[in-house]
Amino acid sequence: MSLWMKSTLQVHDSLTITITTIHSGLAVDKETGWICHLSYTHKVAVAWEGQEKVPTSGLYREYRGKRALTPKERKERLKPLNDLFSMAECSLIADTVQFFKNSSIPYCPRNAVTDILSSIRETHISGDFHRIVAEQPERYFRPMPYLKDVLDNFKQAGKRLIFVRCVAASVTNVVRVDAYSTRSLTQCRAVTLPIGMSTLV
Amino acid sequence: MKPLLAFLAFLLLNIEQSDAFSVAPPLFRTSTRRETLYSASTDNQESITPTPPSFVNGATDITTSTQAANTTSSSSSFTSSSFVPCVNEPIPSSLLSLPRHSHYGVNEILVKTESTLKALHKHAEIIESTRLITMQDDNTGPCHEKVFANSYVDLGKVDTVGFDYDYTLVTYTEELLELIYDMALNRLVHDRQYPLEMLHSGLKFNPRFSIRGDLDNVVVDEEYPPSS
Repeated sequence: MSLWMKSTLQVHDSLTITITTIHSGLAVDKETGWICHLSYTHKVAVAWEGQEKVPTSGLYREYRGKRALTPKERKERLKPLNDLFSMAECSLIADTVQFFKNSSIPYCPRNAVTDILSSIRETHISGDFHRIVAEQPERYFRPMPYLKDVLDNFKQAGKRLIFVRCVAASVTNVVRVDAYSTRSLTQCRAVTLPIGMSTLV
Repeated sequence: MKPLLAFLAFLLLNIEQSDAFSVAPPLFRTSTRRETLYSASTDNQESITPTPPSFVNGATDITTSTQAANTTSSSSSFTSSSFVPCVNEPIPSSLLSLPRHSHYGVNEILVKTESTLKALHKHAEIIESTRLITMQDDNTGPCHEKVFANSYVDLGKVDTVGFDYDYTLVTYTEELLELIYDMALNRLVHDRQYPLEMLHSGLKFNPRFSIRGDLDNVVVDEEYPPSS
């Protein structure tokens, strides 16, 4: 999944530009802890160590004078940051590395990156943040007024709708509330399937 | 140049008149000549083994393919006139034989090429038959292994629609990323014994950090629109 970022750039008091960019080409170097931006030829165009930009000479030194890695090396060394959690991963890696540098704490970049990526992953898998989200849907969910119509159209056409989930069961109800805000939960019957799926309606 | 052309002409002429040629037909001949050649090599028909159909286009139904294989295997009376090269028909072994040449060096090359051809053909047969057996066991055909782009899916033929959760059924506000950041930071400190000071040093999710490069590249053309 490509992560679409919508950024609002305040150019002038009376002029606000909303820029939609495809957030792509970001990766973290598991050896150095650098946040790298790859060019379309897969070269490391820019890298950040913490909040500080790595000088070009450093890039040439680290990446064999060409700023490029072989596909095998790239696969082993650079972890793409291209999903839902990448923004948080990216920011947390940079902040942690910067914290260690500011505090003169020696650290192993490889272990730091592994720890941060693991902590983000565990946050997702544990279902903790999904529970918090479920408690405050109006805060964390963006309204999707068209979703109800889409699902209704599917249902009226006789389609079976299934929900492929890998999160806690409590979130399922939130989805139904969000999708069918005008209906009570009793109208949205769910049948949990043994393979980890449940029917939406 | 002339000696080379003369040698090629000699070579072709020699192949045409070679005695061994009548035993092993070439791959590409006229139909009349091929009929003669196949009738001369009827002994080879016993060694013709039907091969499973090739799923070159990948969209053949498994039932149809199996029927095609049965039909092919039952019709062992292969005749040269009925043979039209087709991806779903077995290749007769006679077509895998190359002509011989009177020159020893050329013959050696032809023999090696022929053995390579036969080995490749046999290998392809094994792969195809294994694939066919696997598909029969799984009760799945090639169509089930495909990923279709939405523009080509006829929704009228779809009876079940599955939905992913994140950014499919729900989209999140930017506050979710802050939440994930804070929870992961807490987990780092409490579960992995990172310095406690990290929680009190003002670390906060920065949504602009990872897109700074993109925004830096945004330029404004001050000449546009052109002033009148």
